[in-house]
Amino acid sequence: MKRIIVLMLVVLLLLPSLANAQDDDRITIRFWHIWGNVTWLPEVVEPAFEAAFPQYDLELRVLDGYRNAYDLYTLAQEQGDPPELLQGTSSNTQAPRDSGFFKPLHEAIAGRTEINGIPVRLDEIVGPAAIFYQLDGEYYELPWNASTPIVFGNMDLLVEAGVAEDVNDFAAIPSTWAEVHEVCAVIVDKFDDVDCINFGAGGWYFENALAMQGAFMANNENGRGGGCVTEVLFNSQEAVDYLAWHKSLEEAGYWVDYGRAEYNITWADSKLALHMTSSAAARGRVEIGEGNGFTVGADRMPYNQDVDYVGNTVGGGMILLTDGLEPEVEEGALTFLMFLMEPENIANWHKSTGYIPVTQSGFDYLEAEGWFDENPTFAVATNQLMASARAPQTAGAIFGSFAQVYQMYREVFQNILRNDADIQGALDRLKAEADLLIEEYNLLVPCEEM
Amino acid sequence: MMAVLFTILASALGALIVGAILKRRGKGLMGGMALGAVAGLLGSLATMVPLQYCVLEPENHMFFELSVLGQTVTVNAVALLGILLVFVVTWSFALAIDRLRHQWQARSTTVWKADTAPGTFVGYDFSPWIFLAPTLVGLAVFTYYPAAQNFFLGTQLARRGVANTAFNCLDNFASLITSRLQDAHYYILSDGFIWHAENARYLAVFGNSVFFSVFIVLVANVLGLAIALLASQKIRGASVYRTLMIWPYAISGVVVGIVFAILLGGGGSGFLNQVLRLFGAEPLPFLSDPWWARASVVAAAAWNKLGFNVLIYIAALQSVPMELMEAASIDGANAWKRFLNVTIPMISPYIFFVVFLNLNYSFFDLYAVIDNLTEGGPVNATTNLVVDVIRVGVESRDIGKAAAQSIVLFMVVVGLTYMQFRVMGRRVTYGAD
Repeated sequence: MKRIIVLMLVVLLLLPSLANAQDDDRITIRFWHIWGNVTWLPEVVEPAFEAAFPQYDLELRVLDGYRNAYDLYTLAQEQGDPPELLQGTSSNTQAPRDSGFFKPLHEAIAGRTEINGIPVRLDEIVGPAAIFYQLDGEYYELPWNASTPIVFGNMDLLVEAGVAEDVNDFAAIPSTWAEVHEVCAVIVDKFDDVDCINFGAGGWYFENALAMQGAFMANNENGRGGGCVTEVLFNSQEAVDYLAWHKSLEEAGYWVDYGRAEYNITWADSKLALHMTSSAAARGRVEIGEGNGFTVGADRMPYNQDVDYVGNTVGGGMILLTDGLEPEVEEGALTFLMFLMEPENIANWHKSTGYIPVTQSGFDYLEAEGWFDENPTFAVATNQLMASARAPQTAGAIFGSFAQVYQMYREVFQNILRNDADIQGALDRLKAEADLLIEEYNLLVPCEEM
Repeated sequence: MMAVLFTILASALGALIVGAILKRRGKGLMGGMALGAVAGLLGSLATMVPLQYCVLEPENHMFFELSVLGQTVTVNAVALLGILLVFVVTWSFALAIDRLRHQWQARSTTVWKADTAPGTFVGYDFSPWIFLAPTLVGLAVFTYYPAAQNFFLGTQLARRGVANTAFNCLDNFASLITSRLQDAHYYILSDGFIWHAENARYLAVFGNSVFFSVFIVLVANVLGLAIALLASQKIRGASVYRTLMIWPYAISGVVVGIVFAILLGGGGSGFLNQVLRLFGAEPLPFLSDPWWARASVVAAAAWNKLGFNVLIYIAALQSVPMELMEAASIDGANAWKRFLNVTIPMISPYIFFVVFLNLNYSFFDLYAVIDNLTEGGPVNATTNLVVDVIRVGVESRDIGKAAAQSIVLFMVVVGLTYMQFRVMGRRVTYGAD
């Protein structure tokens, strides 16, 4: 009896290695991403890709946030075993490019029009996303999860306050700075326990506010005009105007700051009328509304009505391809990237999250389905970006210490909003500190190497 | 040339200072001066050679303003730190040389009697080193080498994921004082302030750490002891109550942070604010007002540690001999006096132990609570030293500056531990002996 048990244990121990032996001829493509809440990837994309390309074994690993992902990736690089694909973020574009860890996508594609039989659709990337993701007309990474800030509205609250005529009256959601004040005055007057608007005091609302007013974030045309960024332009009049508007909302009690994740509870409880956040939150906002019996509407990010509107900028992420892979592994990784760009996948990705469809074919696929007519909330982001000028202002700034500077302005903005800080003075200080960081970065990674 | 002058100056100053001190202590002036000169020489070489005498370079741009008694001066932070560093290292060398000299003298005058000195090796033997080797190698590889590397990193302009590094002297340390810009201003007994600082970001972060440590230790210990006193009463079901009270200790900081975030959330959502509204009161800005946020972190952390403190204090209270309490009662001491004069001295080793652990916790382990409760905000009001190290080193990938900060943190902890053992060690009663 003992022998049989021992034998069974040995067989059990050997089984996994036997199973592995069977898989040995498959090429493993590891993709580290942060979309833990999107089940579509492991449930639909992974089996579909592996069915279409049985020679590849796709391994998805979910990481907690961009910061964590890049950190673990750096570690993996240091240990000599990085994954083939990594999801990166827009505020951290230059640093990975300078790291030498990644191969520029255009170099890997090398002018081919199809990879493993799947068409290369980079020339189909829609305008606003194209200027954001390109540098010198080339794609260094795969554009993928692109979004833009929009305002979600609890339509039932807006109707109850008399701001909207009915729950489909999305136009009642304020779309200028002045309208936000007007609507909030009504909301706060009408309800005792409802907050009017919430949005982060962080980076990309500020970036968008500058782009909408046609201002640059950094010199050398946001680092896209031929030279590298050597200074930021955070202390411009446009920046002061935006923060003054934000502060006026705070002082009037219209803008309320919440802690992490708290806005979800407030939103679900119908205690918040307007929530400005990433369009990628569309699926989540709408589902919370459906679950709690209220209609969710959306409209563009409010702009400064006193200045001509220029355009919004894209935020989000991209997929980076590790450099130094074996040719057949690199081919597999590229195949997966191109597979993600297939119209059906672009469309489903958009539906599961709210990220904009980055390719024209993906957009057309959704249009043909009548998706945007049935789900107008999901159309706002794309419309906003399509209405934006293709200009360096709306392409966003690109410099190596961006992520660090991003942290810094969160601190400074909170200080401006909460304390009676002199806005111009605070921004002058912020600019000086940010310039030092840029100078330090450029010292380590000289400009001509970028 | 400057380097040679600096070394000579350090030696001369060392000779003067150590000589004067030893002379006051009634020891020889010449011996003291020689000791000081050697220490000064070694101290300046040991610090300045690795730093390539960079603190003497005039192009340094790290300045801050210092007002003392109404007089304002501009101080070069790098030079100031450099001089402080040389002073501290020289001082350590002087102490070490002095101790070695004493040992040498003692050794040369002592007649070793191997058979009467149990526990000592006879003659010089390598065997202790062989026995110690596994531990020493482990310590060297996993503790001392990374620590030394950290000191090196503190003098570098270095970014995670960028291969290049550049030596930048003590700028990483100096930037903590100057806030990287030249507008940090410190006042001592001037402009109506006893002590005040403007635009001193790191000092504020440091202050938060001190604030958390003092209040978490205070709240968790006073409450812990009070609850332990109640829980020690002989009532029915006492063990159930005790278990329930100890339970928060088993919860991780992340969960504590999230639970308190749900409890204390601002706006319309927080549980406590919902309760306040039920009673018609205005909601309180638990997480959005700097002082409320600090208090919230203290509350969450103290609650987390409370269970552990209660557990230790219950055990401590059970160790207080009943005879002593009875004797005190017979002598007419009331409950409060018995507590103050019998219980507290008897449990003082436990208090020392708990305070030490709590202090370590509030300095090093608050990250999870803070990150999940306030994310260090509002406006850095709840950013402490550890949160800042992680923010700079991990989020911003600026590992040079993070290394400098972690060295400051290390020195604080060394200082705290030393102080605790010196100050509290004397007042702690360990039983009858």
